[in-house]
This record gives sequence, C-alpha cells and structure tokens, in this order.
Amino acid sequence: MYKKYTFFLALFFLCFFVNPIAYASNNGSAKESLIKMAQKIANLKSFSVSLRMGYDVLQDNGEKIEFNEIRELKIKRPSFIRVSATRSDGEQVGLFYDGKVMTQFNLNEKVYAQLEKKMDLDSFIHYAVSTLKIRVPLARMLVSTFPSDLKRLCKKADFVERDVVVADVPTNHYAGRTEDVDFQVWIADDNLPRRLIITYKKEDGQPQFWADFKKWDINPKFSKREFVFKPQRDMEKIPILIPVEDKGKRMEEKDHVK
Amino acid sequence: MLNRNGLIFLTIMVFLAVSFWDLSYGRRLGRGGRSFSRSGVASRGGFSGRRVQRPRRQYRAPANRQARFTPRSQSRPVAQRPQNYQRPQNVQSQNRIQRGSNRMATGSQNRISPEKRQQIAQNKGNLEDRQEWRDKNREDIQNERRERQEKRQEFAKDRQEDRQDFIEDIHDDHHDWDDHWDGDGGEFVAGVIVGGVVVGAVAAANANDQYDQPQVVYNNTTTYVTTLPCHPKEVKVNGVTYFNCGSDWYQRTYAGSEITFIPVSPPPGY
Repeated sequence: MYKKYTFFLALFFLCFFVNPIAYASNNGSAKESLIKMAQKIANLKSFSVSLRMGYDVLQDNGEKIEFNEIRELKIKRPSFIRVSATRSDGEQVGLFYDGKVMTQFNLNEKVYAQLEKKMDLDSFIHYAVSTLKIRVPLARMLVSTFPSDLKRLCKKADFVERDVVVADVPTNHYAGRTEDVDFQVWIADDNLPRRLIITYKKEDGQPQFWADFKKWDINPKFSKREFVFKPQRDMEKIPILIPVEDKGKRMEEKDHVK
Repeated sequence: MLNRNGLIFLTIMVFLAVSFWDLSYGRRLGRGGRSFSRSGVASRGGFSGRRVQRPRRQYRAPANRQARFTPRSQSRPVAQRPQNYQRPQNVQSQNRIQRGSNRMATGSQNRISPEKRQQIAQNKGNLEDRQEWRDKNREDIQNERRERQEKRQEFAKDRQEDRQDFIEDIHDDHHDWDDHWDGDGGEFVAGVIVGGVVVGAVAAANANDQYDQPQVVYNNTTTYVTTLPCHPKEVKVNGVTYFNCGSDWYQRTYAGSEITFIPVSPPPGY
C-alpha cells in the first residue's frame, strides 16, 4: 500500500519540482544559444550573406499580402556596409555607406541620393533607421549591441527541435518572445542563423517577417572601393528628405550634404 | 461588321492594353504592382514593434506648491496684533508720567489722588497688553519661521522627487528608444530637402567629382506625395527630371527608402 503512495509522491515531485527546473534550464540554455548566435555575428569583423526574405503587409481592406526580396549584404566593420536588393516587383535598390558618404539608389528609376556623415557602422545604422526612416531589415542584427539587445528584449526562449529540413545543414530551432514580437530562429552548429521568422503579435493581422540566410562568408576580402557607390552615366542625383519633428525642427541637426 | 471572334479578340486586346498601361504607370509613379501597399511594420524586420507614444510627464509645480512656497518677501506675515488691543494714545508720555508717578509714589504715596490711581492702573493695564502683544508677536514670528522651514523642506523633497521622476523618465525613454528604434514605422509627413538639385537653386557644378554635382540645401520644410495626381509629362532640364501635372511641377526625392515627389517651381523656360 505504501509503495502505491510512494509512486504518487514521486509523480507529484516530478510534476511540481523537476519539471520547472528542467523548464528553467531549457529556457536558460535556449536563450544562451540565441545570445551565442548574436555574439558570433557581432564579433565578425566582416561578412557577407545572401538573404531571401518576405514580409506581410496588411492592406486597408484587411487583406494580408506578402512581398519578397533578395538582399545581398556585405559588412566590413567598423564603418562599411553595402546592401543590394532586388524586390519582388523587379525594383533594384540599394544602400551603400563607406564611412563618409551614404548612398541610396534605385537602378530602375536611375536615381540616387547621397548624404555625407562620418560615423561608425552602429551609428550609421541607427541614423539611417531612426532618423532617415530608411528601411534596413534586420537592422538590429547588424549592430554590435545585438547580444545585449537580445538579452534585454528576449523575455522567454525555448528550444523546439533539431531541424534537418529547413536549411542545407541541420539546425537547432529556437522560439523566443519579446514584449512586442514572437520570433523563431534556426541556428546551425556554426552558431549562424539559417532562418528567422518574426511575428508582430501586437499589430493588426499579426504580420510576419521571414528571412532565409544563405551563402554565409565570415572571412571575405573586401576592398573599400566595394562600398563606394559609382553611379552609372545616365543616373540622376536627387535630394533626400530628412524627416522633421513638429514645428519644422529637423530631427538631426548635424548632418550636411556633400 | 464584327463577328464573334473579332469581338473576343478586341476585348482581349483592350484588356491587355489597359493592364500594360496600369502596370507601366504604376511603375513610373514609384509604387508597387497595382495599388497594394508595400510598407508595414513587418517590412522593417525589426525585433520590436512600433513604439507606443506615451504622454510625457509634465514637471510643473503643482498648484498647491505655489500656495505652499512663495517668495520670502511676500510670505513674511506682519505680526498680528491682538484684535482687542487698542494702542493707547501717547503711551510714551503716559509711561513717562507713570514712571514719574511711580517715583512720586515711592516718596509720597499718600499724596496720590484717586483719579491718579485710576490712571496709573489703566496705564499698568496698557503695559500688560503691550507685553502680551510682544509675546504674541514673538510667537507669530517663531511659527512663521517654523512654517517656512517646513515649506522649504517640503519643496526640496518635491523637487528631489521630480528630479528622480525625470531621471527615471529619461532612463525609461532611453530604454524605450533602445527597444523600439528598429521597429518604428518609416512613414513621415514632412521633411527638409538635403542634397540633389532643386529648381531655383544656383549652385556650382563640377563634373569631375561625383560628389560635387550641383546641389543645394533647403532649410525650409516641405511635404511630399507618393503618387502624382495625373499621368505626368516628363521634362528634363539641365540634367534634372521634372514631372508636370497641369500647372504643378514636381521633382523626385527620397523619403525614407521610397522615391517620392515634392512640389517645385517650374523649370527654367516653362
């Protein structure tokens, strides 16, 4: 009779004590793995990767439409970035920064715009995204504070499974939650992400952003020239609008044109 | 005239022409296929959503603080005399008389008349009132000092709390910005034109250096449109493309990542 009770007691102990410990351990190790991935990216002096990405846009009539694009990303720290993108509608656009001059261009429209501003890569990405409102998908993954940001933002993380399908190499599938978004990331054994899905759970229609990371090169040989934009002969230079706050005050006062 | 096959063929051709025109027109205006919006919070691929604008705390002194803390020159109360106190007329002379009377009394008390005694008693009463007034005055001043010190302490405490709130707010805002910088939308209403060539501007041109092309900084704010109100006529003047809709002229500009249009003056010669 006592044996029977012992069994139930053991079960009770497992349910209420061991499971939470295992859960906490799993949560901790999952988050550690995510931070390891972030640290790996943040510590790379230079890298290139090809991103195939897509995102949902909720239309005014409530219809959710997905748009896609391919982005070739090259980064050379401390202050060089080159993004060339082909959008699903065929537009070829890009963003270059060579440590001094930022260039945005659209090859289909044959236009480009330039702005001179000397800063490091982190500051440039912050400036482009926050001040100029330029779209730089996964911008947070490109700055050196990504590990600390992830540590702060990620409230919960879980290891889902070992995935052998989603990429060309086996990956660990993790799911994380921040206050605003839920995200899933598939990380290969080299600690580099192969796939990422972000769900904007607080937005209407809960749109998603997804990206497949391909052709990682973490030891590329870049020359500085690769980050300097050379306009084609028939391209036209157009101005940039710097957003203003209320009362016509510029959001950033120190920038100037070249 | 037209048989059935001809009618079908004509319908298909009209459909194709309209579709082609719509597609090319849409492209020209810098928008995506047909009229679907391409921008949304997910397009930015941020690890955060849009920042919720919360009202900033106001650090105005509360109304009761104004009442509590007033400048010293205004706050110092005039010592209130006892309400029933009537300052005696010619107090000093009366006192002098009294003192003289006392002296007289010590020497020849029996010689003081009853009227004089009554007057002396009245003067004595006045003296007691004066003493009472002095005591009251001193008490009032002490009370006022105590009250003022309490107000100062309270004000200092309030100011410290406000400063603490302010620091916390700055801290919160900093973290809020840290948490949302990649998630805020890319849309904005107006901007300042920077770089490029804008009609009306006179700037030096140097074709040798790609960054020394004619350009100008406009300090005034302008708004932009993402689509033009008509199918525009394109005109290229001095290497700059203008778009004409009736009497309105536009020029292309970057707003965020999108090519948009800003209203400009007509190009030279138009």
